[in-house]
Amino acid sequence: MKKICVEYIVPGMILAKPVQGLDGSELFPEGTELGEEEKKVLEDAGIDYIYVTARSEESEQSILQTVAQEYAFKFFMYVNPDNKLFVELFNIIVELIFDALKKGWELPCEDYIRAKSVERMRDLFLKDMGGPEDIVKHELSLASFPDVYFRLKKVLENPSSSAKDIAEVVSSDVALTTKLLKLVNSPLFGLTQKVDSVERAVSLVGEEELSNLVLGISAIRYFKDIPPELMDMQTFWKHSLSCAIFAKIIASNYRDVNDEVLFTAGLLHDVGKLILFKNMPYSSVETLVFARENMVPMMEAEEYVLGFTHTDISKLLMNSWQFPNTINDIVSNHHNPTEASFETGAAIVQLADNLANAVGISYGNTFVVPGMDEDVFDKLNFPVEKLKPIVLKHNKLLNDLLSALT
Amino acid sequence: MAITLSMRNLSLRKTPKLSNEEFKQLTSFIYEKTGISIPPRRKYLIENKLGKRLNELNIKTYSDYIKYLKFSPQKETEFKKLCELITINETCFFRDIKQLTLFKNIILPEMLKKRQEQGSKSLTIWSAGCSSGEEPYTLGIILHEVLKVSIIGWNIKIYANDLSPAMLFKARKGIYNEYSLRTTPENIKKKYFTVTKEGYKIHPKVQKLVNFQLINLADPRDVKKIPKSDIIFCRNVIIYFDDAVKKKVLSHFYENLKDDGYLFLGYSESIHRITKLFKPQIKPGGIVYQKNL
Ligand SMILES: C[S@@+](CC[C@H](N)C(=O)[O-])C[C@H]1O[C@@H](n2cnc3c(N)ncnc32)[C@H](O)[C@@H]1O
Ligand SMILES: [Fe+2]
Ligand SMILES: [Fe+2]
Repeated sequence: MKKICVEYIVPGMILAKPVQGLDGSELFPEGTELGEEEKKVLEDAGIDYIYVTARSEESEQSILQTVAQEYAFKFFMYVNPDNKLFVELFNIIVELIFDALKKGWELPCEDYIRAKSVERMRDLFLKDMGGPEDIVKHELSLASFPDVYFRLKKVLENPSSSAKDIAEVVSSDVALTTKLLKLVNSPLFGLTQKVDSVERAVSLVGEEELSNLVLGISAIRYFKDIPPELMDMQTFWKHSLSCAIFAKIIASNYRDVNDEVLFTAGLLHDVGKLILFKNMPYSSVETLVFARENMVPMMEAEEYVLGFTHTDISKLLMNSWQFPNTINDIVSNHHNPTEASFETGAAIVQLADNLANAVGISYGNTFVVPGMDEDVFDKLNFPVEKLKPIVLKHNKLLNDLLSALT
Repeated sequence: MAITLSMRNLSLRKTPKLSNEEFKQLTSFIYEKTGISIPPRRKYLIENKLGKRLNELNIKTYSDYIKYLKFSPQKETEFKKLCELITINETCFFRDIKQLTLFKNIILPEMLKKRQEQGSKSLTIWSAGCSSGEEPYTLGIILHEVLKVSIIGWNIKIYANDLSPAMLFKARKGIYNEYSLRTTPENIKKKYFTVTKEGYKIHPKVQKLVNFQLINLADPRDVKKIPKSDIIFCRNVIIYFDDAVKKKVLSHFYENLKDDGYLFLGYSESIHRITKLFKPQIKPGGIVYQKNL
C-alpha cells in the first residue's frame, strides 16, 4: 500500500482504502481500479491523497516505473527533448526516482507555497522603486562579511608570506578550521593521507585553493546568520553544495580550470536568491508560483515578476566584498556563460546546476531543470557517458559533506 | 543500484517536432489573436503543451495543426481549445490580502459614499482575466462584508471575464477545493461556502452579483461589451502581454473606467514605463491607479 497524491494516479492502480468526499460521503469503495475518469473525479472533488495498491508484484513494478517516468518528465518540459545531455539526465533521474519509490519515498504533492504566512510579509521595495542596488546596499548595511577572509586575503597578497602565516590566520577561527579540515579530508578531495592541520592542508591543497575554500565556508556562515524567513535553508544549501560537488568533479576534467574555484563558485552560485528572499519575500513567493505555474526556470520567472534576477544581486554583492573576479564572473553568468570572461568556468557551473536540479528531483525539488544552451554544452565537449558515474559519486558524498559544512 | 533493462534509453520526445518556422507562425497567430506573447525560449514547452492536442486530433505535424487552426470548419472551437492550453490560470480566493484590505477599508467605502451622495446607489466592478472565478467572488464577498444587509438597496454588478472557456465553466459552477481557499479566513469560509460532495460551493447571494463572459481583452469589440466601471481589477494578466498589447489593453481600461474610478493591477505589475494614461497612488497595502485626466 502506498500513499500518493491524486495528481500521480496512473491507470491500473487499485484503491487500498475507500475515498470520502469533503462532505463525508463515499466517492469510491476500496478495490476500485483507477483510470483517467476516476482521477478526474478525485481531482475535481479536491481530494489531496489516496492509498493505492496494485494487482500483483509485477504490476506494481510497472506502475512505479510509469509514475517515475511521468513524474520526472514534468521537469524536462522546458528543455530540448532531443539534446543528448537532457535525455541522459532524464534516464538517470527516472532510475533514481524509481529507486526511491521502491524504498517507500512519497512523491511531494503540489505543495501550498502560497502559504498563509506570506500574506503578512512585506517587501522592502515596491516594484520599480528599488532595484538590485538598493537591495544590496540595504543588505550590506546590516552585516559584514566574516573578517577572517579579508585577513587571509592580506596575507596572500604579501609575497613573503608562508604556509605558516596562512595557517595562523585560519586557525584563529576554530569553527572554520574544523569545517575546512572536514572538507579537505572528504573523499571529494581524494587525498591519500589524513590532513590534521591547516598548515598541512595548505601544502597539500595549495594557497590559492585553500583561500577559495575558506571563502566558500565563510560565506555559508555569513548567510546562515541572516536566514530569510521563507526559505528552507537546508534545501538551499543542499542544492548549493550539490552544485559545488558536481562543479568540482567536472572541473577536474579540464586542465585550465581550478577545481577549488569551481567548488566555491558552485557553492555560492545562487546566494543572490537568499538576499532576494530576505528583502522581497512577497515577490519571491510570487516568483516561485510563477515559475511553477508556467513551468519555467526561476531565472525567467524572476525577470517577469521582479524585473531583475538573482545574479544581478550576487554580482553587486560580490563586487562590494571584493571577491576574486573569477568567482564573481562565474557566479554572475552561470545562466548565460557566453557572457562570461571565463566561459568554461561559467559553463561548468551551469552544467553542475542542471545536474544538481535534476538530482534534486529525486528528493523533492519542485522546479524545472533550468536548461543549457546547446552550443555552450558542445563547446565544453563533455562526454555524456560520464554523467552517470558522476551522479553516483556525488550521491555518495553529498550528505556527509552537508552535515560537515552546515 | 538495480537497473531494470526496460528502463534504459527512455526518450524525452513525445510529440512531433516543432520547427522554428512553425513556432514563429504559431506564436504570431497566438499573439495577434490574444495579445499573449511567447518568447522563443519556450519553444519546447509549447511543443509539449500542444503536442498532446495534435495526438488527440490525429494531426501529424504542427504545420497541419496551424492550417487546422486557421482554415478548418472547426477553427472557432479549436481556437478556444488553444486558449485553454496556453493560458496560465493560477489564482485563489483572497489573493494578495494586503491589496484587498486596501480595497475593502479605503477605496470601496470612499466609492460607495460618493455614489450614494450622487444619489445613484449603483456600483460596477470589472474583474478582467478572472480565471476560474475566485477573484470576482472574493470581491463579491467583500461587498457583502462591507455593506451587510444594506446591500439590498444597491445595484451591484461584477463583470468577470476570461479567454478560457474551461475556466469560465468552472467559475459559473462555483465549486472549489481546499487549494483555492488556502488564503481564505476561516470565518469567511463558514459564512460564504457550503461543503458539498464535490467541494466548497460559493453562496448564491455572492454568485448572483457576478456575471461571467468569454471576452478577449485584446479585442476592442469584445471590451466594448463591458459597461463603464467604477473599479477595475486586472491582476496577473498583463504580465503575459508585451508592451504594445499592454498599452492597448490599458487604453481599453482607460475608456471603460469612470473618471473617478480606480484600477488595481497585480502585485508585481507596473505600468509607468508603458503608459501615462494612469497615475499611481501609493497607499498602505499597495498601489492603486487613477485616470490622468
Ligand atoms: C494568472 S490568471 C489571473 C487570475 C486572477 N486575476 C488572479 O489574479 O488571481 C490570468 C488569466 O488571464 C486570462 N487571460 C490571458 N489573456 C487574456 C486575454 N487576452 N483576454 C482575457 N483573458 C485573458 C487567462 O486565461 C487567465 O485565466
Ligand atoms: Fe541560479
Ligand atoms: Fe541553482
